Amino acid sequence: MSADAGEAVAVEGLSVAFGARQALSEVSFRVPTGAFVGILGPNGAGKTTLLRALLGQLAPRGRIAIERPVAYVPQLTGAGSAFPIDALGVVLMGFFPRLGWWRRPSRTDRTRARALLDRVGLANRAGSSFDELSGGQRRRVLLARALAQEGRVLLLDEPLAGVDALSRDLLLRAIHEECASGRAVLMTTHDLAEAARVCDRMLILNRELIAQGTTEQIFTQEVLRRAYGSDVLVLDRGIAVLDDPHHGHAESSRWSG
Amino acid sequence: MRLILTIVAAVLDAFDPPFMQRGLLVGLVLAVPLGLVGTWVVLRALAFFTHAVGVGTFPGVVVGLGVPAVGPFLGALAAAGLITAAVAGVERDERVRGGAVTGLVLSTAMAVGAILLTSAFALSTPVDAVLFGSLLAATVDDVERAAAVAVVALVAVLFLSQRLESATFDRAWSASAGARPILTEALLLGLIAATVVVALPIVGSLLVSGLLVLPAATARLMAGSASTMPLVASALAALEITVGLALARELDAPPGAVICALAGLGFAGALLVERALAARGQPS
Amino acid sequence: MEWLTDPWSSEIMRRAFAEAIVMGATTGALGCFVLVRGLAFLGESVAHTIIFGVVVAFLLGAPAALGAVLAAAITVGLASALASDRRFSVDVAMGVLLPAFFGLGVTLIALTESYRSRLQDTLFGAILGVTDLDLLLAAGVAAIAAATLLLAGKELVLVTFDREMARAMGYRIALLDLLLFAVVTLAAVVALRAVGNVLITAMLLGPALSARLVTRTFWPMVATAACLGALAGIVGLYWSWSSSVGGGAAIVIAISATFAVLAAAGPLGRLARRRPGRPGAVPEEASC
Repeated sequence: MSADAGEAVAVEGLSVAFGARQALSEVSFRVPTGAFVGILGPNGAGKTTLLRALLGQLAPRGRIAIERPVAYVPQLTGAGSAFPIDALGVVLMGFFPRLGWWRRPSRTDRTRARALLDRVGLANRAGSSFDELSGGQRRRVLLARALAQEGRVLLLDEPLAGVDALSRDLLLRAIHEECASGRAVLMTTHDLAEAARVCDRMLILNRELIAQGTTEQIFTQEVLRRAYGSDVLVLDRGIAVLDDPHHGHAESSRWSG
Repeated sequence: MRLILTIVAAVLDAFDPPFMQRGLLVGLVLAVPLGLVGTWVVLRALAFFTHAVGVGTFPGVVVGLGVPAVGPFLGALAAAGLITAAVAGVERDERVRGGAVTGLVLSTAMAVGAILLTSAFALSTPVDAVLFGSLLAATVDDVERAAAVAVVALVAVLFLSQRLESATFDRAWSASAGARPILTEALLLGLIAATVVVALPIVGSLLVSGLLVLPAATARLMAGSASTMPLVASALAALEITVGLALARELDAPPGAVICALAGLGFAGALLVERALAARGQPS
Repeated sequence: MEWLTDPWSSEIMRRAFAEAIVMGATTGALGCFVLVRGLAFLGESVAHTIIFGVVVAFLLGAPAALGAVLAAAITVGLASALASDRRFSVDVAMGVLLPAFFGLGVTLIALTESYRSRLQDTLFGAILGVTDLDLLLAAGVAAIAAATLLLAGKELVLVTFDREMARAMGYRIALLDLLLFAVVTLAAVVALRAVGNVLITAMLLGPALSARLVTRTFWPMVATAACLGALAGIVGLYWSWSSSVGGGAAIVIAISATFAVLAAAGPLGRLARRRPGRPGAVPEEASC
């Protein structure tokens, strides 16, 4: 199986088990180039497992056709923040895979890295220690690093969670620019309303693929109920009320039709 | 100023005898891998591991000294290899995180060494020398071995530094980008073991970890990036070893203890200077 | 059966047995807390920095135990301070303090003629030289430890396994941490006499590690560790009596051998081990 010309990702019958636990079961989907896909599902649905499979870190059953290198923006952990490196240094890391891990980045690479920082609005923070940056700023730097990888596919793990408004806007702008230039972007998120706002396609996952398609196709009562159980109530196209048993609170939001 | 000149003169004086010069040579050559490898020990929080490897060489050295065919170097090398594999294997298991098994292993290694010392071998080398180093221990062979490790460390770190950097900063991304962090980390552990083994004659098993950690930790205070840290750390190591050896001769104290004490004071000094500068509102 | 009763005829050995049993049980029990809180490197560091405190106390004419306890306190204080700096992990903080203070201590010892000869005993212990005073101290520390566990045991366990709950219930976490630390340090200082600074980590961790392999919940683990610690002391001393092996080293080997045997009997150990998530079960090490 291989991806068609207009497809960036094609997955067929993907199944992943960790010991006795089935994390993913017979997942199949295709992602056209230039698409911005939201991967949704409750906790434990297998979103991160899917990302790892797409990155080639697992040996699953089924087939995956994806053009490598796949650029990746992992979730933010606190671990890296104590490392002595500045924002420019982090972005330069994105060039390492293509340079070969032993060749130093050239002056041209440094210029390109600065340009990427500029795209995410951090041109004047190139010399700042990564440590000193806010959560949203760090997320932007990590996106710039992923952009430096110049992959046809970009995977992001919960990129917008807990991020300030400015960073969010800059991140989304950069993502949309990538989609416009033909890259496929997949992002996992647990924020249903957010995904409906910004993504043009969705994958709803709960160990198996509950639904895939454009946002309009997906955001219906029956689909959401199948994915999340009877905790979702779609009042009208403008408002979704979600009572998430995992977070224990009701969340309402609006998206434009 | 005059004080500094006096100290320098005294230090130079101390290195008159050939055995001191050999020791100094080993020390200066060692400064290279100590700075390079020590940087990553500090950045990757491998101090306990390094201490365990250091202490673990004790029984190996005892066996090597007692069985002339083996010799202390090979004995230390074998022990270091064993301990590295054991601790690396054990620490991967989440159940025993926190270093408890490592702690037990290193205590046991000490006990085994002590038993071998008292019952199996009657050694002409005093225990102090094995545990804390000796000014008389450095041979020409040791200089050559230190040089070999220095070269290997230089090449390896040159080759691995970008992998190490990305794996330490963000392991998940590093793996996704094809850097193979597991391999890189394993190579680093091997480098640590090799550096520990060639530093043993000068500083002994119990304090060798200090040489890898203290100069690099001090450098962490002073340097802002992972590429300048090794330079500062090596310079500090060279300085502390030089003055330490001279002082050890003067005081008739084991060099390992004196060097580590100096290195500790150096770290404290750098910390205080940094605090003082910060209090005055100046960037450190 | 003479080999069983022989050692007990010697007064030196009787004292050694008493010390080994009492300290083995005490450090075995307290070691469970050290184990569960992931404080192995801290324990090892404190054991080494204590030497500095003891020598300074000796030079100043103060009691050695005081120097030891102060040194331990300073180590823990400095370690916390250093580790709170984001550039340094707890691991590196220990990695700095251990060689710095140990180096200072050994240097001072080398300069102190009257102490030089005792370096070996300090490092490896001299359980056969145990005096009545040592036994008294050991009994005292054991009593303190027992009292602590009896009176504050539940609170200590809570603080160890569920700090947030403890905080929510209004317990003074810092105070409980301090109490635990103080008792462990006292036990360690007294146990130094038996096994010395470089071997004491085994006494703290070994029986606890072994006990964890065969018990499912915390208090049985503590009791088992105490028994294993005492037992290892007895076995070790028997070995030491019938050979030229030093007492401290022999005890450590007995402890490690126990662990190795139990660990190798893996399937049995795994059956008995805790299931994750059970309250009161022995979970992974919590960091303090």
